[in-house]
This record gives sequence, structure tokens and C-alpha cells, in this order.
Amino acid sequence: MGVSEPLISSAGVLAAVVAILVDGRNAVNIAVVAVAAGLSPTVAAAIGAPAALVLLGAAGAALGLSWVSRRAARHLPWVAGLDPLIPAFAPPLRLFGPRSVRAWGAALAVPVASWVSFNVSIGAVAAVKGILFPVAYVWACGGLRLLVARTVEDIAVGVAMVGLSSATAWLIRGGPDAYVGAAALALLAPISATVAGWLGGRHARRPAAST
Amino acid sequence: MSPLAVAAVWAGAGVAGAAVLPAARARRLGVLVPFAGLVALLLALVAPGVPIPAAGGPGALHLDRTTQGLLMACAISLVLMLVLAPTIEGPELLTVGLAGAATIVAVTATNPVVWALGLLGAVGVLALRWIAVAPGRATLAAGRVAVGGSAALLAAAPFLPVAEAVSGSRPVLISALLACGLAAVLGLVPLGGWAVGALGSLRGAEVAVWPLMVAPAVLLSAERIQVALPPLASATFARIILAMGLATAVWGGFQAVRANPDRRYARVFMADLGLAAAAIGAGHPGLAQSGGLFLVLTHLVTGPLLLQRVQPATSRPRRVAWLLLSGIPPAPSFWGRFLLLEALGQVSSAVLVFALLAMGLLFLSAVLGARPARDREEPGGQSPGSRGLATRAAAWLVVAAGLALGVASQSGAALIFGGS
Repeated sequence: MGVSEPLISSAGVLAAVVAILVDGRNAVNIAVVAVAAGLSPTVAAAIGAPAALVLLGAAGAALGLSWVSRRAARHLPWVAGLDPLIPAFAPPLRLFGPRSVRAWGAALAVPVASWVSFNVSIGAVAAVKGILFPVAYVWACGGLRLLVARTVEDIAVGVAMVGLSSATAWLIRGGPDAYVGAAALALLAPISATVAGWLGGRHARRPAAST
Repeated sequence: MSPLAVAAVWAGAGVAGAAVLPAARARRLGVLVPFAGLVALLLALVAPGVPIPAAGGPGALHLDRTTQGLLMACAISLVLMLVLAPTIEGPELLTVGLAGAATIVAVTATNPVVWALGLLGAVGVLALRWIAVAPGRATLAAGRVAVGGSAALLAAAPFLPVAEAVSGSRPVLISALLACGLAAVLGLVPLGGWAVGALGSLRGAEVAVWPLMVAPAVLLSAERIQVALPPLASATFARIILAMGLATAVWGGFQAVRANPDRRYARVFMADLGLAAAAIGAGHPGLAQSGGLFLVLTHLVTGPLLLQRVQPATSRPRRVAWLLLSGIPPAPSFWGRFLLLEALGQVSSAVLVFALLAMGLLFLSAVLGARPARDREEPGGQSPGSRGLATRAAAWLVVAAGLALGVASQSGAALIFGGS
């Protein structure tokens, strides 16, 4: 039975839309799980089902490390620190909020990813075209999330999206070091989740008088 | 000692320094963090050839003599920065150690993934620390733009090497991603607001790591990555980096002339970085690398003094340090800018005019920086004490090193970067 390309692409697009729009204390975890799940069909179709374990493993590691770092941070004495959810600066009121800007960015990323998919070949051994749409779309959404970031949590989500999409591209590229390189790139997701969890945990211990 | 072990020493020293020294009330010993890294670099295994982040294995790190010399100069500069700093905080040492380790991994990497991850790690650590210290538009922009630039390098990694793709969209897209990514990490116009903002709003070792270690290493990487590109990609890369670099040099020079004295050095540094980046796009890699390295060396000497807030003990050495940036012999900046001018002059007369304009503005800003009025306003210059005397001695040592570098430029460069 052949693999439905539109279905695979739709999974990647849906994952990217979820990841670019999600906010809140668990944003990194939700984004990582969504992107890993959305890109796994692409990897499985292009490389083989075992390759998807790199992404799913990274998502599992992100969830576990985020939980551990958050718990560990809560057991340490409170220090004045950085809350990943508070904007680093307050811009003046605008017509569009940060999530609306991200939604527009996600819409504009569709033609960009489409152009990359149809015009840019990838592959260390044999160059192929036409399979990069979900990868390029997730990367473009991650890059946009970075560029319009207002909080450290936004940056962490953007880095995790870029890491997972680059890992997928590296797997599709193939070559002798495909799995090692992809694992290194996918590590960005658990690292981002750990940093966000740690900072969130430290902030959660803030005494009531200092809030 | 392998480059990976050197990076581990930097990271370990940073973590240990941040954990132990504040608790032991011995923060001044924080100078030992970059000093340990310097010793590790001295013991590092140097191999022939040049590390080009294109197609090596993920574990293959390669330290050549030029890179070793540059990293050692960076480590000495960071030691001097900490010696001259009025105070040293524990988290600063952590930032120095982790960003230094990531930079060493990046600049010695032969695999594009490791290279991009190293740069992302370095700017990520810096951005996180900067946002924590001074939350604001400038520091958040460091997270947005510099990390975004590193993300562009990550996106380019799966498409490298592109030697077999001599035409079509792939070489153009890759060269654009590489050029824009490197320009964002280097802080070139129009992507450089974050660098100027951070250098203007922060002081101390945590901000000094970027101009004194990360930016020089990225510049060296930018010079080398171009070699790995095929003609079409190399031409696109050169055009983008030349335009952004020249714009940065002219804009930075103009802003340096009219800048507040506290922020002038940041503008001068950015303008010189722009000149060095523009020369990469000039198509003469030998001249671009020699001139860029010499100019970087000048800033590694003057940066520890000029990145600090004005202190009574260092006001006179600061004025001499500004003259070292004037571009007039025997200042070391003369040799760096001369070599870059030689490279840029071969592109076109228009490029030459813009480069001369930028250098003229940089001369003017150096003269303005050397004026004594600002320093005389600083209070408390009468009784420096033993700490003040040590600071003053270190400041004059920095100036003497800069003068020696200008007078004995060729032998100095050979000593630091090797015979080639």
C-alpha cells in the first residue's frame, strides 16, 4: 500500500500549527510532542519506521527531563530569577497580539515550505526532491516563533522545533552518520525542555510576598 | 589533549568556578577559569590542515595552529578582562566557561551539525544570561536574532556539502542561509541591533565573552566555510556578506562618531567586525583572513580595557587604548585595516570608497574616545589603594601589549598564529 503524501504533509502542518500557537507553562512539552508526532510519518515513509524512534525518543526525553528539572528546581532554595513566561519587555499595544502574528506567520510559511520542497534537493548519496514540505514548514514556523519571541519560553519552543525539523532533514539526507547527527540535532528538544522546566520550577518557588 | 578535552576543561572550570568561588568568598580567583582554558589550549594537540565544517564525522574536531593561536589570544583577553573587572559574579564564570566550551567545539568542528550546534550553544548561553541580567528589548533580541541565525546554520547543515550541486536552487539557498546565519551571529546590519544593544546595556565578563571569544571564532568560521562552497554558492555568499559587512562598517563608524562615550567602543567594534566580514566577500581569502585576524587581535588587546566602565585607575590607559584603534601607525589597527583595505580595494572603486569612509569615521571616533574630558569627570581618582594599583598595572600592561603588537606586527602575528 502506497503512502499518502498529502496525509503525511498534513500531519506535519498540523503539528507545526500546534507548536507555533501553543502558550503556557507546558508549551515546550506540547510543541515537542506535536512536532515529533507530526514528523514521524515523514521519517517513517522516507527512511523507515525505526528512524522515527529518534524523534519519538527525543520527545520522550524532553518530557522526562522537563519533569525532572522542574521538580529539582522546586527543591532548591528560591533565588530571584528569570520567569520563562514573563515577557522580557512590554511593547506598546498593537493591533495584533503575539499569537495573531504567529498565526499569520504560519500562513505565510506555507508557500516558503512549498518552494523549498519543490526546488531544493537533499541527500548525501542520491539527491531527491518533493519530500521536504513538512520539514521545511516546521522549520519555518520554528524560525518565526524565534523571531517574534517575547519570552524565554517562546525561544525554547522555537529552538525545539528547529532542532526536531533539522534532525528530520538530516535523517532524510542519509549518509553514514545519519543517526548520530540526527540524534545530536534532536537533543535540542530535551535541552530546551530542561531549561524551560528548570526556570519554571525556580519561579514556581517564588515566595508570595515577592510576587 | 584533544579539542573536545579542551572544551571540557572550559566547561568544567566554568561550572566549578561558579559553584565554588562565591561560596568560598574568593570570586577574584575567577580569573582562573579562562586561565585553565588557556593552559588546556597550550597542551592541545595541533594538527596540520584547516577545519572546514562541511563533511567530517560528528566526532571529528580539528585544531589547527591558527585556531589555537586565536583561541589562546581570546583566553588571555578574557583573563585580562576579569583582572580589570571591579567585581566578578559566579554566574559570569559559568557563562564564560560554557560559552567558551561551545565556541571551541564550533570552531574546531569539521561536521556542519556539530559546528552549528556549537554556535547555537554559545549564543544560547549568552542570550539566556543576558536576558536574566537585564531583561529588555536588546537582550531579548539577542535570543531572537542570534539564536535565529544559529537556527539558519542548523537548517543549512543537512544540505552540506554542496560541492556536487553546481547549479540550481540548492547552492543559492544554502549560501543565503549560511550568509544570513553568520551575519546574524556576527551582528551585521540589518541583523546587528542585538549586539550593539547588549554591548551598550551590559558590562563585565558576561557580555565580553561575545566580542572577545564568540565573534572572533565566528569570523574565522565564516572565512573558512566559503572554501567549502561551489562557485555559484560562493559568489552568492560573497555578495551577501560583502554588502552586509560594508553597511555595518559605514553605519557603525557613523554611529561611533555620534555615540555616547559609554557606547562608542561597541560601535567601533561592530564597524571593524563589519570591515572584516566585508573582506571575506572580496574574494581574496589570504588578505581577508590576515587582516581580519589582526584586527580581531587589536580588539582582543583593547577590549578588556574599553569594555569596562570607566574607572579612575584606568582612565589614562583607556585613552592610549583608544589611540591603538585609530588606524594610524604604529597602532596595530593600522595593519589590520590596511590588509582589509587591500582586499576590498580589488572589488571595485565604490567598495573602496565605502571602506575608506568607514575607516575615516573610525579614526574620528577613536580620536573622540581618546579625549580626556570624560575620564576627568570620574570621581575618586586620588587614592587607588593596592587593588587600584594592580588594576592600573594590568591596564598599562594591556596598552604595552597593544603597542608591541603594532611595532612588531609581523613577528607578533607569526608568534600567535604560527609561521603561515
